[in-house]
Amino acid sequence: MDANLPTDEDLLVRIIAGNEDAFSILLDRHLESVRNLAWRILGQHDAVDDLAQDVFVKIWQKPESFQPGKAKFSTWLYRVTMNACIDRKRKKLPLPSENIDETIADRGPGPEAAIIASQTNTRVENAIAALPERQRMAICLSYYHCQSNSETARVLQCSIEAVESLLGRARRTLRQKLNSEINELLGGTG
Amino acid sequence: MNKDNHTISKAELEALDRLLEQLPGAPASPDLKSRIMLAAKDKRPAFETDNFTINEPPVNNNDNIEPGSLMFNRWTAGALMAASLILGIWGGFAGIGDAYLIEPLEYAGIDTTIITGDMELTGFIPGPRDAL
Repeated sequence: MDANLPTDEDLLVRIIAGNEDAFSILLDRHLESVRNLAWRILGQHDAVDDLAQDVFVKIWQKPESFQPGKAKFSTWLYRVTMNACIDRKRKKLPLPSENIDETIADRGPGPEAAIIASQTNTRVENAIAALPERQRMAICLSYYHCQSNSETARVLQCSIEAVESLLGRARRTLRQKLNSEINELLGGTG
Repeated sequence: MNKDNHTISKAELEALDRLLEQLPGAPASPDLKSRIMLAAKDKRPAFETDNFTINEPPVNNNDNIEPGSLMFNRWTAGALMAASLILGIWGGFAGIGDAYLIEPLEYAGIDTTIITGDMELTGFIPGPRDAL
């Protein structure tokens, strides 16, 4: 990051003072991350936008909730997002009856290779969606949010060993469910 | 390929990594940022801001009241409420004011038998007053 750019912590200090520009910059930096995390955890539906809105409005209302010495801002943000996802699932808020296949189809028709890739992606997404919640969270944070095991442990509020265990179990499950795709890749590369 | 459920080879792990990493993210939602900014403005806390500043006096804000007077008001109101409650209960048990309650009813021709009967449960004895 450019040394002249304000850090997330700097932005939060300005947000505490009610600075809208700082909030806008924070949104530019982190909105897509929050949406993508919610997208993976909730299982891809329109609720991710509502959830992302809830998360950022909470940050706007209570920016002082973040304690800089305890964790990185992104770690805290993912924790807040995870909690919001869990809350939404517990409350069983209505989810649009959107089908994953339809979602992918909506991304636009393409050549045959693109369709095959979409089908593969659908199977991978379904396999991730079928994982137990904490395994899915660990996989999402590790693969899609570049979180180290220690950062993932902070988000999930467990030990690093527990994260390694979650990731190991998740990978074994995914390997079993995506056997044909993995074989195809292994055959193609070697 | 290793079919053991408890192990995963390095090649399999790399293939799995490739499958996971090629997944697309959530589709873009171009209006979301402005929606969030609007929602945040609606729910902003009541502080002075450099961008949201509105030159209006604070609403529902106790900052302009001296802490001492605020505390005095709260304690006074609490004490008055407690005193009223105690006096009310004591007066009810002692029957003070019963005549004032009953007489208007009797004056209006309303039978007060039930009322006095209920009050007997709290120790009210209507006899002497009835004798008057």
